[in-house]
Amino acid sequence: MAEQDNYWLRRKVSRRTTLRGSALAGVAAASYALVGCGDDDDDGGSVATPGIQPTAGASPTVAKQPVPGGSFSFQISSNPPSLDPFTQTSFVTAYNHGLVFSKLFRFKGGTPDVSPADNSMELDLAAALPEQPDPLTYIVKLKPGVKFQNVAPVNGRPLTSADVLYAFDRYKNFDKSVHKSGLAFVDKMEAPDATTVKITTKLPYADFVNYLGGNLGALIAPKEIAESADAATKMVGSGAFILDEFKTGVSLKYKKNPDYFDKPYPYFDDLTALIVTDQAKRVADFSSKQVNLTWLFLPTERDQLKKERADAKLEETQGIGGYIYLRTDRAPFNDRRVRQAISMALNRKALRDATTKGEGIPDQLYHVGFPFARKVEALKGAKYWEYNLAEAKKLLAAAIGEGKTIDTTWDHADAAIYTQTYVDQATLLQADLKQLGINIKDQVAPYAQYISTTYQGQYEGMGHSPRAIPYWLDYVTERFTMKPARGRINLSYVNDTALEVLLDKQRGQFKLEERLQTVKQIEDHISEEQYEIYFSTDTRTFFWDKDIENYRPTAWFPYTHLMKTWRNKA
Amino acid sequence: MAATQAASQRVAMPELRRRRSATSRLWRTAKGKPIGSVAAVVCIILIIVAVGADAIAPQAADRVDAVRNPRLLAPSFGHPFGTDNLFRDIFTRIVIGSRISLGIGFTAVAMGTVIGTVLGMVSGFFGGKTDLFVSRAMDVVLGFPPLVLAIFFLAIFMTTKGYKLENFLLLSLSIGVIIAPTTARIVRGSVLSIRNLQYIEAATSVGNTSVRIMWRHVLPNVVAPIIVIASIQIGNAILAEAALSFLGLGINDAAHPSWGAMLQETRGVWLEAWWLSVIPGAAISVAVLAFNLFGDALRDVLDPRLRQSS
Repeated sequence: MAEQDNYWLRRKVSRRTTLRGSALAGVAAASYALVGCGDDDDDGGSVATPGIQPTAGASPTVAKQPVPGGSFSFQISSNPPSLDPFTQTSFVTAYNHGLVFSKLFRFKGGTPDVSPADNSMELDLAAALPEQPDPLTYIVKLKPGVKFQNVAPVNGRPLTSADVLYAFDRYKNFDKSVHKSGLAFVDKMEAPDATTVKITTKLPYADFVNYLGGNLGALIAPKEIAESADAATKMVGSGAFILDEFKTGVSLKYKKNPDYFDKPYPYFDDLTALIVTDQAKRVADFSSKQVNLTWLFLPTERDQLKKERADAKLEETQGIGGYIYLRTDRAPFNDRRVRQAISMALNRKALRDATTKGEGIPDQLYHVGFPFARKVEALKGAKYWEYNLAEAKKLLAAAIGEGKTIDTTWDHADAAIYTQTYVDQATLLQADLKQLGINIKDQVAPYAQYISTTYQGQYEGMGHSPRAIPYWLDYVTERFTMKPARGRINLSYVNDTALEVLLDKQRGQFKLEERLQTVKQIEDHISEEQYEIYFSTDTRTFFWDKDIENYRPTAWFPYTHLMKTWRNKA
Repeated sequence: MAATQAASQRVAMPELRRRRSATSRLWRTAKGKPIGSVAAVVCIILIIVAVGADAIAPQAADRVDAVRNPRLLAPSFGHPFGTDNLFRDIFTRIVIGSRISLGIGFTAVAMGTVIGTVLGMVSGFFGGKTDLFVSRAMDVVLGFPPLVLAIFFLAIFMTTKGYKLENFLLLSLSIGVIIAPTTARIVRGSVLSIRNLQYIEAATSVGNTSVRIMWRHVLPNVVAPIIVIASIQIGNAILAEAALSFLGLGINDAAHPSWGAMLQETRGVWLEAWWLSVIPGAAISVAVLAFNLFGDALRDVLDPRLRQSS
């Protein structure tokens, strides 16, 4: 393509801005450290000192000669509910997807030279960053010679632009897809030739690269598996590792993909993901050196493991922050005074003291950790983060009448997936709400049930989940949009015309500075509306064997770059 | 005169014996079985605590009060069992928790005893292929580790979590199922020993149906071993409930704790607060020990043959 036709090169400043808008929603988000990923979860950016927001600092890189071969084992905290990328938002599933499937782009994070919360992207299947002949058109060239893994039913056939189109079409249009709203920005897709994908968007979309490099709704899975009866239990992609065996509730075993297009990766011959739902067992297994990498430890377990495995490498990251979502489409939670009262009735300090030794980020909206994120006290609705039961009772009385109470439900997962701390948070917060005059019926579900019902918006009163770490700025749209349908994670059923206008506006702003002004307006709006009620974020620590080289946890998916990791046998 | 006195003594003696047996037999039994007697007292206290938990507990079990219940407060006068990591009074939770622990224990034993008694009677009374089928089925159930079987059962049937009647009954039934084979074997053995006795033959010869004979003539004669085995099984059922709750398969919630779940929920802070492991653990141990010792004593009193056979 001629240089003058190349939008990304032709408009160097804009391109940089764009990549910062999506990637700096990355590089910027470097220090960002919310939680989890895609659905609901977990790990975060690097935090050197408990309670301090993560910095963008990268570890010094030590040049070492990679050593191919060997095995590596790590733990996941739950059985993947299904391995089908089209119908899942589970972070456990997504962790495993990252080993087998490729995307157009992928996170740079995952090696020591990149900060854990740096969400900037590098090339995966794409041969280069997209060309943009006009603001609505993106042309992505695929790397030549990419093949699916040499496993039935694809048997090593070439991966072409038709496969990319198929996957995106299925994410958008398959009945059971849970990613429809994520790709709502796409108007049409074409495949001019076997290695070119042309995507036309409905409007200029500043997060194009970050969304398609993310972990949900962007994995290129072949039709042969997607439409087979084995979609829930098999994965065949073009990634670095081949799924060799999936023992439900026990483990997933992977072997090296010798035909992987991104040479010289992977280094390990095989990987094992051990499904260990019990936190104490995860600690015990790593203490006794039965596993090479373990994670998701709160301060208590962290301190225990530090003593028991003083030899291990570790990195503390900003961890899980919980939030409450409510049915704002119906009474009583359609009255914002009720939501504001709930927020003011939560004793967040007591919550931190009780569950995380007082560590963590105290008060936050969803953009905590981003360099541009304002502290809660700078938001218009800052007072709703203050624990003030008397004021909360006044607000509630004004909304529902003096002396009246609310009976409602609170849905959440059990302790097996998110640890006992998550359930303890529910217990404490429900007690706070009882004092306010909201009587909760606690409804606990196993993870597989929770992720396919509650986390898809199927609940009656209130729900409670760990926070997701957004890796693209437009994450807010999925949280709060009703256009064209309820966003994938608009769990509060927010339907706010004024907010939609702001969401639309920021999505098309390629200049980061301008976009952030809009984002600030969104933050102020949401802080007053209290559509979701946030509480503190804890810290989580990763531990891994000292002879494991070139590994670093990431804020989103800590196993994406295991292909670049090796064991130093010297 | 002497003859008259002797006659009056002979007349009075049966009355004396009857009065003695009515008033002092319990005392004599208690003196003869001091450990069992203490256990019985403990069992009665536990039952009273469970029944009157709301009146006895000083707070609500789910009361989170950072002022009144400072976090991780060691046992003290104000909080005899201390407080937990979520600002709750442990004494309150132990008292309220006795409801689930004992409630499930008794309900499970009731279910297991009914199932086991029916199967044991049918098996022993009819004999032949029926006996063969029921006995092998019991062997199959006994072939599984009891807790694994209960977990298996709950994994299939308990589709929701939380404190509700449906889950209470399912949890009880899962424990009842692992109790039933032992009861069935003992009842079968007792039925086998009486089914050929003359009164059974007589009942048969006058045209009674099998069901009526079992209900009216067999069951009353195997009640003693049933009571004995049931009393012994209560301890096992309480232990099983605690284990299942510890594994996250219980029915507790914040307002309705169970002892096993209390252990599970506080595992992360045991190193900081010893009482969070010791006190619920001691409650389980005391309850299990009391019911086991009481059951042993009851066995000796009601059916010494069981002791010999065991």
